[in-house]
Amino acid sequence: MQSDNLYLTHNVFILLVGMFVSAPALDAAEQPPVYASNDGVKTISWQPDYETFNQLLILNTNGSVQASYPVISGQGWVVSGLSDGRYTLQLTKQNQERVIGTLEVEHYSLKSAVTLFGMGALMFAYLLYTLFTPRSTLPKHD
Amino acid sequence: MTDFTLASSDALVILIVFGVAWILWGWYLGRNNRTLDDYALAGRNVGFALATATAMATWITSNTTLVAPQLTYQFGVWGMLGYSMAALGLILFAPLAAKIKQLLPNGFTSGDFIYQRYGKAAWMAFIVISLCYALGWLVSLGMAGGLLLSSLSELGYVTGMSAILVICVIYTLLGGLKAVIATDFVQSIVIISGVVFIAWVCIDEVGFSTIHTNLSASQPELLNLLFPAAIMFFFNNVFFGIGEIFHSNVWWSRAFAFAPSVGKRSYLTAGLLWLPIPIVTGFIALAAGSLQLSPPSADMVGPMVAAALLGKIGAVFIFIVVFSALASSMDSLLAATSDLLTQDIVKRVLIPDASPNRLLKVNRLVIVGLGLLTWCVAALKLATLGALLNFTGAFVASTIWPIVYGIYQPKLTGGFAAGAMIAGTVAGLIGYFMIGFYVAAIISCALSLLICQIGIRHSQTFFTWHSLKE
Repeated sequence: MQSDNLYLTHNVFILLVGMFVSAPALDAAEQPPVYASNDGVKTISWQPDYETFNQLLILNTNGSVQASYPVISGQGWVVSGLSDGRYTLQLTKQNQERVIGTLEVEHYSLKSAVTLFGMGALMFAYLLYTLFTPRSTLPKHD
Repeated sequence: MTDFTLASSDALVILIVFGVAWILWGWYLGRNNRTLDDYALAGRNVGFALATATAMATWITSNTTLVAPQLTYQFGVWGMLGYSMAALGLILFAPLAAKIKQLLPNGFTSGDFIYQRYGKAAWMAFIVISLCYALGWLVSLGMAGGLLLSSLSELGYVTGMSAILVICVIYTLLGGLKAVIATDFVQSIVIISGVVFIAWVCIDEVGFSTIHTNLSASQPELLNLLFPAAIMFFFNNVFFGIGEIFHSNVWWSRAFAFAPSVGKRSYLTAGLLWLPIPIVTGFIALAAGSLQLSPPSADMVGPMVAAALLGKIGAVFIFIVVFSALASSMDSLLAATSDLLTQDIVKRVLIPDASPNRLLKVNRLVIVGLGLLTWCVAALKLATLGALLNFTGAFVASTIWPIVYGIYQPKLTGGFAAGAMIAGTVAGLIGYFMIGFYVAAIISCALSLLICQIGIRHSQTFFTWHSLKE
């Protein structure tokens, strides 16, 4: 009995370990990757199995086409100019479709961007002041 | 492969014809070089027209022809305007050029100034920064040659990169700064005519209305004036451009080479003429979506749009324009960096009693060595052009205040100048990796300013200008 239980436990353990090990691989095979971007730009690398498709569609949250680009063998894509949102990257060919990833765009906060811009503007104004202010107090070179 | 791609044989013929023409001209111009002053500083008597053309052509580089479209494609209107603000580097260097010539009438390099103004520690930090920047820029130019050929023809990246390096190394080697300046003059005419023509075709064939409609629907952030990353990029690029020019020996060697009273006028004119060029080259990237183009790498968008607009003949045209832009910068950088290494490392540290003839030979060897080193790093193709260039922004922006205060503020000491450059560079690099390439220069410059200010407030010394005269 005990040996039977041990045998069962052993099998269950192997099964669980097998599931644990194979789960990420199965997920990776079935779930397209999720990309993130803080500036609305994303580079999508070329994969050999994209060759059979003829168009890349960027679908927005409503499922409508935001942008479309041709598939050129051996070349990936750089998509840019996307606003905040979740986009689906989908390859198409007549009746065939394949989702190759999801892109989540969340731009940097405007507050931090404007703070940096203000700091730059102040520093630039000070540089102009330093370069163009006459310096009567400094000793003149001969 | 697209329908505008040039066949390998056509691309090779253009490369050979183009390369042989530049090399022969370099040899012709350099045949009368006798002294190191002739070779490295074109006899210190360059006139206004050549001076303006060389300043402008050198600043029209892979940055302007490939990276300006890349940044417009990534950051839209702000990217285009922000890039054109790099002209401020040339414009603000105008008063410095006059001052530099006055302070160091017999100077050779920017390193000379730092060494004499601040001493050895600051000089060492400055040389490391200068060389990191020079290598980064050289590598970006080599990469741009490779990207250009691979996006317009069937030739590979390594072939294009090798071709531009070999051609520029040979004609710089034969002609020195005189050849560099003369070729820059012709190249600037080719470049300006070319980019204006391409922009005109773009407006004519695609039209403002189509571009605007397409961008509004597909890439709305490119038209958004409140695009956060692009807002961050704007002043970052201003300080990157200023840092590049204020510290680099490319611009200092020209300040020494120009005839007295020419430097200020020529840098100012070159800056004003350069200002609209990135707007023109960047603008065409906005048409990419309307033409159903998405580049495999953001830095290839400019040539791809231009070639799509102009077809195969256009691809040849683009090739000549961009190759001219690359060559005009690479030759200048090779010449200026070899001067910096020869004067600041070989003469100052390794062989202080070297004769001018020996230094001339060393200078030529350094040019070859730089070409080889650039080839090795560019072959690795580690980043996009924009990302690589802005990586160097962390280095160069840290030098702005030590240079400005070095000339205008006698209280800043060498220790604080060195500290400002080192700390600024480190902070800029942290910003580059933690936030993005669009904040590296501004963070570096801000910390450098803070340290310089602390140094000035605590300083008890007062530097006297006449001690700079050699």
